[in-house]
Amino acid sequence: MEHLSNISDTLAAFHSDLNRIQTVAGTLAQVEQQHYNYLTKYDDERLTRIAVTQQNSSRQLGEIKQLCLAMAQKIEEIQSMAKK
Amino acid sequence: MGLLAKLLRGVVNEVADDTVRTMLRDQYVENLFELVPVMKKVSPINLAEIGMRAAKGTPVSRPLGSHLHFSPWEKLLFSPVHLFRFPTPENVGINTSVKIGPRAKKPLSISIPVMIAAMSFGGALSKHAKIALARAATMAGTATNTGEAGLLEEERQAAQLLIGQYNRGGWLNSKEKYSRLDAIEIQLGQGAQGSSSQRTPAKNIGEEYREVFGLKEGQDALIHSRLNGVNTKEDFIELVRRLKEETGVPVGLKIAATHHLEKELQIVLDAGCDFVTVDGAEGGTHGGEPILEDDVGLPTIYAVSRAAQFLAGKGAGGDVSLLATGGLVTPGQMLKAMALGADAVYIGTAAVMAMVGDQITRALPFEPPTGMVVYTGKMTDQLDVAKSAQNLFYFLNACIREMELVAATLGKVALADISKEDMVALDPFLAKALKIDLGFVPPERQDVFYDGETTH
Repeated sequence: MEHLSNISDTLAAFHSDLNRIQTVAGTLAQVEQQHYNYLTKYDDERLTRIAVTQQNSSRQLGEIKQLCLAMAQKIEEIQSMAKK
Repeated sequence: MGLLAKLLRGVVNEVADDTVRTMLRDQYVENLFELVPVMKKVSPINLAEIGMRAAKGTPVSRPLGSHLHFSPWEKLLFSPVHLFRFPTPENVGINTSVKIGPRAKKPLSISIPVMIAAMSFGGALSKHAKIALARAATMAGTATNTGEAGLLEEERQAAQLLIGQYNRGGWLNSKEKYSRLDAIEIQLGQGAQGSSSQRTPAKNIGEEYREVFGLKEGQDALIHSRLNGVNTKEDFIELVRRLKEETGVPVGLKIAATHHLEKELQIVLDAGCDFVTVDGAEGGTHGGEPILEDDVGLPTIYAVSRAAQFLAGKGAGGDVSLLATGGLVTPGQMLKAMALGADAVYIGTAAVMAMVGDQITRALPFEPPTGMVVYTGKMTDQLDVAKSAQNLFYFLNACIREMELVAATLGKVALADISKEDMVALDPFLAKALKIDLGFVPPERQDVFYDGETTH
């Protein structure tokens, strides 16, 4: 029983951490996109290259956010099944 | 103007006058202008290939697939929104990620829905080219594909996500090799060559190629028309189940698009494949016989649409990922393939062109540009791997950015949300075939266009 309680606590902790990671990833994705917008204002080839890398990072962070959301949802499903 | 220039100008003028006079006066039998109608009738490509066949007596090996444009992508347009539904605000990020094989124990997640197509080391590309493709894919957060080859260690190391082809040559089919992949694509055919067998003669196989493929000196590399051990539907089902169980990664099938598509897809479902790759007739290759490239298969546009409709009809739309490939060159074509139902696309020719980019000048005018990237090319050492990876990464980024702009004008927040309801067709037959509204008439009058209406 104690074992099950531990699993439940661990799942709750994972769920909380995943929400934190997805929030950070989402925020950083936005920041990277803003950097892209700033850097492309100057019409400078070198800055544009950096901007493109930022834009790509923004997408990959967006992917992490989606993965975290999906994992958090899965944990919620497991938690609700465990309660039943 | 100098004396020499004046003299030269005079000579050119005389020659030009004489040429035009001859072309306009002489009859065809003694006129070089005869070549113009001949070229128009036969086409320069066919004329050259007639000559090549006549010179050697063997089938021509044409690089990069068919020159024919089977899929009328330009007859589909996306429909922007303004008030009826609002466009996506510019500060909202568009989700571009995709999960391939969501039912697999270890699905393949990619940041962008564009992957690098199967182009094998040795059979097609040089080691430098393969490494550059893998590096670019890694930078962009997407996957690259081994093609029909063995496991090239340098490619595995450079690729964060590597899809490997369980192939008809048998070069990647040992557990020790396929266990190191992020997804397994069982290769039974390709758009440019159908399911025909292919042979790379031993004279074109170097030491490293032999090592990666496990070939003996003097041995040809042979791709059989069938996969060893798969002679019945049940054999295939058993193979898929075994690979899934042994690896946990997504296991899928790649086929050349065909009018028998639905029958093939039913077996894909029976086997429990995690994804299916449909390679349209426009698919490229390092070198294929023109008859297989031009006269065999099914165009990508119809293949994707039919496959998506079949999977949806069987309730497998979300479970079995559909990967489209074959002649997708522009971001618009790639996005239209996704709107028709593909979860992601592979690009080959465009990726190679992007990778070479402005390095093309090193090959021209005395060598073809492919000479820098194909295994048997004379200038493979001239390809700058870092520059090539960067070029392709920029190309991928630009393509995805263009797709994001379309998503925003459609009022979408994810590329995956774009569907055929966001498009119109400019051809009645295409509209009917793809089940897309015809752009000539409003949505509520679609049937009237086809059935006719009585005038009052």
